[in-house]
Amino acid sequence: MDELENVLRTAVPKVKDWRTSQNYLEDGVIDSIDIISMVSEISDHYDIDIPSEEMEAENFCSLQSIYDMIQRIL
Amino acid sequence: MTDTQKGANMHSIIQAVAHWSAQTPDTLCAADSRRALTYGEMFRLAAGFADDLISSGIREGDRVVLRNSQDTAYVAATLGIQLAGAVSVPLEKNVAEARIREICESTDAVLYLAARPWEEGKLRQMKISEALQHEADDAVCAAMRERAEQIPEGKMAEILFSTGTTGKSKGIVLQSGNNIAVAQNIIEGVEMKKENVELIPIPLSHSHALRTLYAAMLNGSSVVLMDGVVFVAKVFALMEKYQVTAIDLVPAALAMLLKLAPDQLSSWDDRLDYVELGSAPIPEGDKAMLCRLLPGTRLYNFYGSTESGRTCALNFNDGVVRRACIGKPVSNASCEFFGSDGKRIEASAEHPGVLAWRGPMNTPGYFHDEEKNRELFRDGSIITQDLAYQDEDGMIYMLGRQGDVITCGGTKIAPTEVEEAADSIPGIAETACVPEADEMLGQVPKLYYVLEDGANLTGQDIDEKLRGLLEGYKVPRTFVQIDRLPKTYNGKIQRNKLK
Repeated sequence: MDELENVLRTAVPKVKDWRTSQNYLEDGVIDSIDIISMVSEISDHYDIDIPSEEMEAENFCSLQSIYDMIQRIL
Repeated sequence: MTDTQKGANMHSIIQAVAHWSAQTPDTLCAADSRRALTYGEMFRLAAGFADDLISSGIREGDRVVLRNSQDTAYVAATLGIQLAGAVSVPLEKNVAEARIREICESTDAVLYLAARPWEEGKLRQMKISEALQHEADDAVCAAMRERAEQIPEGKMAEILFSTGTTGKSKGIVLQSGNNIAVAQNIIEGVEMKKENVELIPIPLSHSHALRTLYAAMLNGSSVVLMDGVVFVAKVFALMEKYQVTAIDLVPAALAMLLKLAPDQLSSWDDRLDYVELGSAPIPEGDKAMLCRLLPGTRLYNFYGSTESGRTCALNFNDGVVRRACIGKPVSNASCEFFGSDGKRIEASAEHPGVLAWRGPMNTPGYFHDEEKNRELFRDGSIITQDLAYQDEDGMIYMLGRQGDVITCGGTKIAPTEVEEAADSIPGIAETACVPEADEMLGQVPKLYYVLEDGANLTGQDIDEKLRGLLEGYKVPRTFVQIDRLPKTYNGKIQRNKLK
């Protein structure tokens, strides 16, 4: 999880705290452009392609949900 | 009577919805991920909401601030407000508190409608979902239908505020007749059919998407609303569910779709009639990729502004390359050109003029801002900041924004031409060309560039390649690599930040 947090920090430097919010979009932590940066950074770091069927809001709402999605793809 | 002739007789969008609710009550008007409303249902809800607003004391001309919820409730609320005789003032979904305050105060609003209450709360507030609570009965519907018939073209329908990255936002007044004229421009521009079902995944608080919605409602066709395209699984599921045949995008949303789901988009080529884009220039690379993915789909780029909407349309997927062309004016719009002395000129490629528009889509002016209104109009036309000319076939070619065009030793250089050439170099993701002060020549071009992942190009490499593509004086003197171009939310490059 720490590794993922570092990846997200690189993708969206403006966000300092990735752990408190459990709903990044609803809470205004990130916007859709940030998600594109996150997808690029995650794809590069883990050497994966995030399939379009995984591009769901629920998969990008918290550190845990992003982590779970990556585990499914790996 | 044909649909188009009917559209010409309409004075307001709500009148068109009332018409279709009687003619084709079971046709889908608007759907979102939770519900779908036919024209019959939409008019009953709008009529019920208008009735509630009037009963609660809303009067003719009152301003109602409406925060976008990007769903059918927002559509019903917009129509209900305008049917009640009030003026809708849309706000973005993720609007800052300070902007809510500024717009409520500057319009002297009497009501604030949103998904959630605004904490400051001096103003009367309602939840936007209340627009879906009360379907009018037959008697109220009949009375509201008559009311819709009586709305004149000159009635103020809404005030659209520019997003404004600097300074105070401008409130652009739109009358019912302006909305009809812009909707006609779109219907004509994309050759919209009554059977079309158009996906609108971009904000309805912004003039571009709102007008696509109005065009569909004037035409009696259908829209499907979504909040963005980033969650592509949902986008394509909704497209499948409602058998979408058209998509409305802004360049930023297009870029996301191209990045996240190019193959899925391509698989829709035989089902899509058209994709329409507007609100900001589309990067050449994205345009080319879209043409490759959707070879059988009409792909339109619209030119226009909130003040004078959708005046030109160009299908850029017809196999003809027209650099810097924005298309032909639609029937409602006539263009003219002004020289630097403020007088009308015959503009040409060598001597472009400032583009101005005349026609029923033109706003009557800014809300309570006489000074800005004086700057907006010239001899009754709305003046833009764009330097352009029209060729003998009626096509308009744009060199760029007046302040963005680079005057190098007395010769004008269109930044878009430099950018198009630079964008065609393999390894370059996107570029922005801006003027740089020069002692000898006044101005010279300077290029900011973003590289594609894994690319390794220096300024010198780009310089060498550009010399094969452009005349020498157009090749930038300075090259600056950056990670990301500064852009507005709809993808427009913020050139001021680069100058």
